[in-house]
Amino acid sequence: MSDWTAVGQRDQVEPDAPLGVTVGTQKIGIYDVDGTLHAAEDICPHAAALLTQGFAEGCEVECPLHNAVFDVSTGKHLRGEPCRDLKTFPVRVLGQEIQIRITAV
Amino acid sequence: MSESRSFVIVGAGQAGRWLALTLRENGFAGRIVWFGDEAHVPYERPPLSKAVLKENQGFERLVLLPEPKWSELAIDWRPGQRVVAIDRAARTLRTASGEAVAYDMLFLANGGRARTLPGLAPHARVLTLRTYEDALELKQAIGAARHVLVLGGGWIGLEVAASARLLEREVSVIEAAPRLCMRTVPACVSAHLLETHTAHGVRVLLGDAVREVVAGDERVTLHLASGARLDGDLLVVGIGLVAADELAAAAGLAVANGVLTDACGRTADPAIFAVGDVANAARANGTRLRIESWENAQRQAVAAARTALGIAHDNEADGPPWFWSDQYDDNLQLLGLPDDSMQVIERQIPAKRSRLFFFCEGPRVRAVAAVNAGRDMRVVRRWIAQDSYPALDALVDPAADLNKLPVSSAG
Repeated sequence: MSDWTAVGQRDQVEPDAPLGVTVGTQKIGIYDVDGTLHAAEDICPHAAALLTQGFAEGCEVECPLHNAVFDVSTGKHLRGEPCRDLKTFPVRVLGQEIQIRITAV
Repeated sequence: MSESRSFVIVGAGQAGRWLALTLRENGFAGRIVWFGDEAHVPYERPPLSKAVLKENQGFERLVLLPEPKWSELAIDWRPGQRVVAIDRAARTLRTASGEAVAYDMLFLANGGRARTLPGLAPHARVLTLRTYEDALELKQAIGAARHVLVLGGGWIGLEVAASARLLEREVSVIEAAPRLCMRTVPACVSAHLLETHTAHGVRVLLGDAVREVVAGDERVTLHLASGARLDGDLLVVGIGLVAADELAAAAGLAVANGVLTDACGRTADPAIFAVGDVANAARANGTRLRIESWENAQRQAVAAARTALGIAHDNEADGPPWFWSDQYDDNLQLLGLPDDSMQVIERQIPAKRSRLFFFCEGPRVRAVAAVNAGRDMRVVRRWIAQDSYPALDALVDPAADLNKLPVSSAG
C-alpha cells in the first residue's frame, strides 16, 4: 500500500510554524524549508514529544522537551540528546492541497 | 602514526559517555579503559525517577551507547569494577579486586551517592534513588504502598512524588526548607511547583524537619520537629547527592563538595580531570559551582576531553546551564542561574498550560524558567548568545510570538 493522502492546505505551513498531522496512527510533521515542504515523523524517538511543537528554523527542528535537533529534510539526528534518525515521507502539493505518501510500516 | 597513550575513565554515566565519544570524535586512537562500578553498560539516569517508575520501560531504552556506536568506540570496558585508589606518582590506579591499571590521562566521572539520613539503618521501607536497581526496587515498593512519604522537596523528590501520584498512591512530601527546590530556583518557581503538586493531590509540608524515623515491618513513621507524625508504607529519601570525591581526596587532590577543577575540568594534577556531578568547577566570574545535571555532565565531559587532547575549548561559550524536569504532564526547563535579586517577568499562555518566568537585570534576560514552553527556550538562548533582547514589557503579552519580537543589543 502506498497512496497519497491529503493532510492539509499549503497556507497552513510556514517556515517557523510547521504543521502536525495524523495519518492513521502515524503522527507526521510538515515543514516549510525555503519554500519546499518536507515531511518527517513527528514523535521524537527520545521521549515521545511532538517535534512540531518545537523550534523549527531552516531545515532544523529542535525537540521541545530535551533539545535533540533533527534535519527535517533528511531525518538525520544532528545534535543534542543522541537518538535514532527520523523517518521521512514523500510530500507533494497539488493546487493548495498538501499530500503525503505513507509507505507500509 | 600509532598512539600509545592510555586514557582511563572512571564512572559510567552521562559524563563518561561524552568523554569516550569526544575523545574518539577528536581522533584519539589510543586505548580507552572505562570503569563502571555497576554491572550494566552505561545508561541514562533521568528516566529512573519518571518512565522507569511509571511505565514498564525496559533497560534497553536506557542504554547510552547502543550498537554499532559502542563497538566503534573500541572501549576496554570494565563493568562492575570499582576503582579504589590512585597512585599519582606512578600514574596507576588500583581496583577493588587488586588490579593495577596505568593511565596517561585519568578522567574522574564517578558522580555521587544519594545522601542518606544520618543514623538511619538500611531498611526495606526506606529507599533512595540513584541506580537502575534502586529504581526497580522503588517501583515495586510504590506498587505495594498506599501512602508514600517523600523526604526532600528537591527535583528527585518531586519527580518521585509525581510518578507515585500518577500511580494513584497517596503522597506526602516533607521539606525542611521553607519552599520547594530552594537551592536551584527563585521563589516564584517554588510557588509554581507547590501549586502543581497540591493540585495533583500531594500533601506538601514545608519548613519541617525530621526528628525521628521509625521503620518497622508494617509501616514507617516520621516524627517531625513541629510535633507532627506521619505514617506511611514507604519512605523515599531524596535529600541530595554526595559527590564521590573520596577517591580524589585520598590521592591528595583538593576537594570541597566535589573535586576542585577549572572550567575545563582540570585538577591541580595535569594528568587528572574531573567532570559531571563529582566536579566542583570554577566559573568565569570567580565563583565555584557543582552542578548536578545531565547537560552539565555532557558539557564538562566535552570540555575536558578536548582540553586533554590539546584542543582549545571555551566552556562558557556554550551558553548558560540548562536543566529540565518532567512532572505529571508538565515539562519544566531552566536556563541560566536565576536568583531572587533579579526582576521577574511572568508570561502565561493558559491554552497551552504554559508559563514562563523571565529573570532580568536591566535590559537583559539572565535566566528563564519555562513550563510547557520548550520552544521558547531556543529563542531565549539566542537572545542571551547575541546579548540582544526585546523590550522586556513585551514579554508578558501572550499573543506575541517571542521569536518575532524585535531585539536590540544590550551592550
